[in-house]
Amino acid sequence: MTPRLRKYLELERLMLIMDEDGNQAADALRDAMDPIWYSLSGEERRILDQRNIGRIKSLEEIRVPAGSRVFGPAPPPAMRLALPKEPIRGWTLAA
Amino acid sequence: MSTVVLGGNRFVDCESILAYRGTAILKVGFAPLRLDLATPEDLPSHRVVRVDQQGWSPQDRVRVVRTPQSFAVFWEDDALAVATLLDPETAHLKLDLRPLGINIYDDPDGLHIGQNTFAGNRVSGSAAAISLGD
Repeated sequence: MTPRLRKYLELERLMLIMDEDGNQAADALRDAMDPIWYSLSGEERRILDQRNIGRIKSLEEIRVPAGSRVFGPAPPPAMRLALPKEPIRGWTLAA
Repeated sequence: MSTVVLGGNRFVDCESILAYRGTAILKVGFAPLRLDLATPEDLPSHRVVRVDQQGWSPQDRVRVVRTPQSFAVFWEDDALAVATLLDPETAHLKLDLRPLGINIYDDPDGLHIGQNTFAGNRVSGSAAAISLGD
């Protein structure tokens, strides 16, 4: 996806949300998007024309802070434990 | 109407399930069922995965297994995401991105993201159902 197409889609989402709310600014934003639309390539416009756009109510519903609690180092390789050769006794008590 | 069931949550008609800084990182598509996964490129683990309609990478560590009713993405032997079609408009998603150093997974308690757990939510008509941000 090109940066120009990404910007167009972001603006379109905002426009659809405002349109859904009945906000008249949606029309102004739609008009303001025209220069970006015409700057897209023919292929990009063709892809956009072929979409089915659902009703978008919000950009994001749940927002979660990202940081070291979400993104961390790769986990170490799993320990290799061989299956026991003897029958396991008392496992129901442990469960 | 498309619905994704994940960790006891229902995501209805959402463009993406997860997004990071405004960019979708996990999408579920229907007809046919498919997953798009694009992890951030600046991960501390340096395990960057991309699965989309053009293919997947890195080719030597990521595997995609698909049938008409399911679509699964593996990091080596670990399942990252497994989508199963429950009916033509509903998919069940099992997610565990921990092998990539991303602390997001689901279990019977719900969907875990970092220290947060989400369960029993219904999100509809959202561009990004869950957005990870600063």
